[in-house]
Amino acid sequence: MDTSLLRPRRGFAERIGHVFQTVVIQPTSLCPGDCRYCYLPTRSNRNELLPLVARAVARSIAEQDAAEPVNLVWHGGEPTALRITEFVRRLEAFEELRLAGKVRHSIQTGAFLLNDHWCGLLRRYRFGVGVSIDGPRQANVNRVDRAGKPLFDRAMRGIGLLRRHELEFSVICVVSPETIDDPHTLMDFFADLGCVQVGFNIEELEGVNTRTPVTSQNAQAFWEGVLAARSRHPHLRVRETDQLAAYLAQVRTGRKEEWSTARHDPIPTIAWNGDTVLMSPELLGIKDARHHDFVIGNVLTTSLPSMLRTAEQVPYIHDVLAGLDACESTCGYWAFCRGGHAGNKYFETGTFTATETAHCRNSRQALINAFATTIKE
Amino acid sequence: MSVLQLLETTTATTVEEFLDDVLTAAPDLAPEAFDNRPTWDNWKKH
Repeated sequence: MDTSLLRPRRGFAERIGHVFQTVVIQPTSLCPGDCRYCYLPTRSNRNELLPLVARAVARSIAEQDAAEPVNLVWHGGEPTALRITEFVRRLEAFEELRLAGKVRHSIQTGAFLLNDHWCGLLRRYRFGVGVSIDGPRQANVNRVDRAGKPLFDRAMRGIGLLRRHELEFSVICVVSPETIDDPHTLMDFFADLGCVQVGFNIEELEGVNTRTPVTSQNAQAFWEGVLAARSRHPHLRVRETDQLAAYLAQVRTGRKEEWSTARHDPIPTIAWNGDTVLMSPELLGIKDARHHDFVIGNVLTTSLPSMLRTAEQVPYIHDVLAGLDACESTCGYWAFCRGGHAGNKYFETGTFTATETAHCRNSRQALINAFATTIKE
Repeated sequence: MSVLQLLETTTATTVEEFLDDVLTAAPDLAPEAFDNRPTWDNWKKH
């Protein structure tokens, strides 16, 4: 069925909204790493964010003038592969906004290029730091450089620098078929690592990643292990259990409405040249016969608020909305999940109008089922 | 009753203990918006 002819029951304003809270910006498309599950098709290209693009993004944030600071996430390639002096040059475009409380910087890094200068920069501009590392050495076999050599020791050295500089950091851990059966080892590792929070991304089919995914049975056992390990590590926050707790706490205190009326963040993602995609940063650099390059505009010629005002007319955004309708109509986990992730739907099924994906099964349903199993015991 | 509804309504002490533990560690959890990609909400809590 061609769902493009269907009018979504709930429109862009109701489901997504015209205010962005997060902007993902690509300082460089290059990543010296060559992780085997990576979804970025352009990671071997050295394209550096144009300074005039940084200034255009800053103007867009100023134009939106939201009450809350916009979270500006430097990602999409390895950010620290950009020369530090060039990085500072881009940051300066946002400095007035940052000092006015309108922008907060974040970075997602493999940590393997960090040094004292970078740590100084992260502190000076008050970055929220996210590190990508998949657990202890044996869990990082997929994280290698372009020569195929492990990145683990270099990443651990970078994490050691973060700790020495007393920079808080969170971790994103990709859980692979090789590690999903040992959640206790992962939890022990991250508790020792000193991160304030870990988020577990169970390996998915995204972008150019074509490896075999894990099963939902594996995933449920994994979450059961994570929940059990929390008692040993009460100070290690786990993003997914935090989310579930937030939902249950709201529902159980009569505040379900707050959860059910929250909109999806459109997450404008800005490429080095100003090209902008919405709803899923993984769409940057992807080509599709129907949706072309998913670019809804270029920030050099159209501001982000202007793009959002007309986004509902973009065919793939229309499909995203239809997909959310379908999830709400069919899924028993909707109230918590609120429709999954556009990128997962597209890369797994080829359409945004799909409902259940591996991410739904492994990271939402399996988590909830694992928790239900836990309370019965 | 779905699994989710069970968790929403059960009086099991394990659920209350879980919520107490998590919310004590992270009192700022209520989301202002749903991210469309789980990767990104790591930064929102800091």
